Amino acid sequence: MKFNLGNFKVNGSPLTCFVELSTFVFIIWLLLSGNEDPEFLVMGAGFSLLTAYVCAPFLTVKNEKSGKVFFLLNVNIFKFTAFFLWLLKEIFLSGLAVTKAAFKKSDVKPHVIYFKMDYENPTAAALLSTSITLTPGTITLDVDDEGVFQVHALTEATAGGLMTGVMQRKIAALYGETCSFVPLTQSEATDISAAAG
Amino acid sequence: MTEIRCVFTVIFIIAGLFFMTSSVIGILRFPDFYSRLHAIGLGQSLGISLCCIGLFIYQGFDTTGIKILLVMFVSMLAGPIGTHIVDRVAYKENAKNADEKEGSGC
Repeated sequence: MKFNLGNFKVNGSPLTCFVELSTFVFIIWLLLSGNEDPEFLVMGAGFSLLTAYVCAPFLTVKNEKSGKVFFLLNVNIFKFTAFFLWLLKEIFLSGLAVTKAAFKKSDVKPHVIYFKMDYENPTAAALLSTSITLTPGTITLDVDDEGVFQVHALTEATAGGLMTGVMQRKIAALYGETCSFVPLTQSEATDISAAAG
Repeated sequence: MTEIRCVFTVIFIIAGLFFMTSSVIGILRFPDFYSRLHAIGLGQSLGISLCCIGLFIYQGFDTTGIKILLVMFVSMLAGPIGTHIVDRVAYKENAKNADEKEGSGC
């Protein structure tokens, strides 16, 4: 039997995405209700399937250059948890750096840094820019179609931590990407944007 | 056992409050608009996360505890988006940075 989800097209199997989303919604249902009656569980499972059927097409994102469509939740949950714990550690360390700068004003050197990380999956770029903004001391200003990131950094220490490229490589491994990390100067970043038009 | 849990809860919540306090000090002391956004991000991500972890330790691993972790995760997901939008608007509107204007900034 062919499984059809209307207009739902994705890079990979649509059925896997549907099952992933309905499992996720069902787990949220269990956590928020805390109720274990059988009829309640059956109702929850039914509504999870319905919600996943309606919402799965909205949770896709398209790469404008290659035309591939990616599903947002299509990520290994164990690798993601490992990355999240590592990110918590990074947030704590750079939080200490920003706290030090708040008390010792000579540490504050606001500047903008540039690097190129051209992910094929737009979800990876979104996760990277959110992680950068979540880490205190660095804020993503802009990401363009060529994968050039402009990041505003508060101190030398937080900028140096980002320019080692560890976070970028971890996210690339999480999504199975092969692109490489290229630190740029301001003039190189302007050249790339100008060449892309 | 309860006492040990309470000790860890107090440690985490005091750490969270310490980061929130230094976030406020940072907002008052940093030179320009962009730097102040960094200070706000400190209280938003670290302060709220540490307080939530402390409350989770106090509550234990049940449905309420998992809801607290969910609150932490959602605030970590939504906070950077607001920071990024404010920063992007200021960048497009050319808010002045510390080099261009001494004193109060923006």
